[in-house]
Amino acid sequence: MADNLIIAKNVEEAVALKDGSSLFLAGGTEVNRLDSPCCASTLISLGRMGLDGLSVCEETVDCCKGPKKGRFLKLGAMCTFQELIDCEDVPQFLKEACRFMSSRTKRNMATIGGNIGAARDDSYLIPTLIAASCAVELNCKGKKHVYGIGRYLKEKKDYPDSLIEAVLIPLNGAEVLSKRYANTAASHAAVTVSVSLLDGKVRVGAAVKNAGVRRLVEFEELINAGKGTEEELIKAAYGLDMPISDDMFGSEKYKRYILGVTVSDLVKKAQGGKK
Amino acid sequence: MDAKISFKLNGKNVSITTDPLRRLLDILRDDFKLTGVKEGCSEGECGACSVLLNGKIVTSCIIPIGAVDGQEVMTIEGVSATEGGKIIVEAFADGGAVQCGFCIPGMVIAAYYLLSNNPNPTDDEIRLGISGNICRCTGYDLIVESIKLAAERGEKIWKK
Repeated sequence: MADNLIIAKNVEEAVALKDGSSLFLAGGTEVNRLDSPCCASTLISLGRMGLDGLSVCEETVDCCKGPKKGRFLKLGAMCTFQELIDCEDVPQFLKEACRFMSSRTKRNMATIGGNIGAARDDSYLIPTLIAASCAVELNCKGKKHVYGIGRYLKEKKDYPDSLIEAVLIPLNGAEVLSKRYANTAASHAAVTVSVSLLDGKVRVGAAVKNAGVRRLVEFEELINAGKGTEEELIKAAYGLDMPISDDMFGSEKYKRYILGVTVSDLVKKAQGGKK
Repeated sequence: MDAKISFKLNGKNVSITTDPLRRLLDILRDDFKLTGVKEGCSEGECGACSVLLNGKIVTSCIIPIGAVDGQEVMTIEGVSATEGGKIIVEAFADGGAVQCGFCIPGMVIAAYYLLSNNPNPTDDEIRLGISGNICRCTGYDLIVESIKLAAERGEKIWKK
């Protein structure tokens, strides 16, 4: 439970105020909910800073494998899920991921930046953003960085006080297919998988409850090497180096099996769609 | 530390000096005695505490009052006093949409928000419109039918 709420007037103020004892408050659907794991003495509200614009830009993104230049749709981090669904310029695959949050009321509050910042292991958006090779624009104590989402997730702990200002969606025509498995529309998902296909190359992102969310390079290598049959992907899922465990959302075996089968199904569907 | 927070509540300017981290839900119920807004899950899922914040439906259980400073809030008390709100309330009663009634203030807010933005919704659009509101009694069918009834009865109002 926080002791203090500060309404930041602008990005500079928000970033200057952030330290180890505080948290940024975006839509509030994560930070304010009952039994939220978020813990801070001060909440810094981002609601008045206007980070909700949409534009097209050229940008150089720092990815794990080095800088990459491209054209992007730039979404302000405070865009809500419902605003993204209602906006004509937002790609369908991102709208689909936003609809994974089944409550329209919550979608009026939850923001794209907040969902990435929370980085939940059943994240609605991150698997899709990984598969689509998206990037985030960070403000680290006044210094701007543009990181690929994979690199951001990997190095997130090195930038604890950074603010996500925008999310960049590549305008490369990639199609992304996603699937989410949960007991009910409002439940936490056991497994969420996203697959993209661009220039014959497959990219896979996944969130597994209580195991984490990340890019599945192991699957991509198999598929791109022509070894992505359903049996091979199920085998790869059983051998995947991810701390998947039995819990109330499903057994370890179930989650690994579903992961393998779903990647296989989505790749087949993506490849079928391109023919 | 307490702060003075001013906002518009059901069309009237109000102010309160309080801890800015207190929930909007608690302020409405305990300080302004607007008990139509209900506490259900406290995590933004059930929609019993729905209100309109700057015209958009949100759950008041996860909004700190400090974030409401300078904004506009409309509760079920405000909505049910409008022409459209009255039509929805009557349609819910006539359509048999109410059983225990706990979710109904939130459902009425959701219906008002839906019909204000989409005067002639399909069944699917109604179900999407109330997707943030959980009812454990009715099975939703009679609520959907009642919202359709409200759309018909208030045709001229919603299309304004």
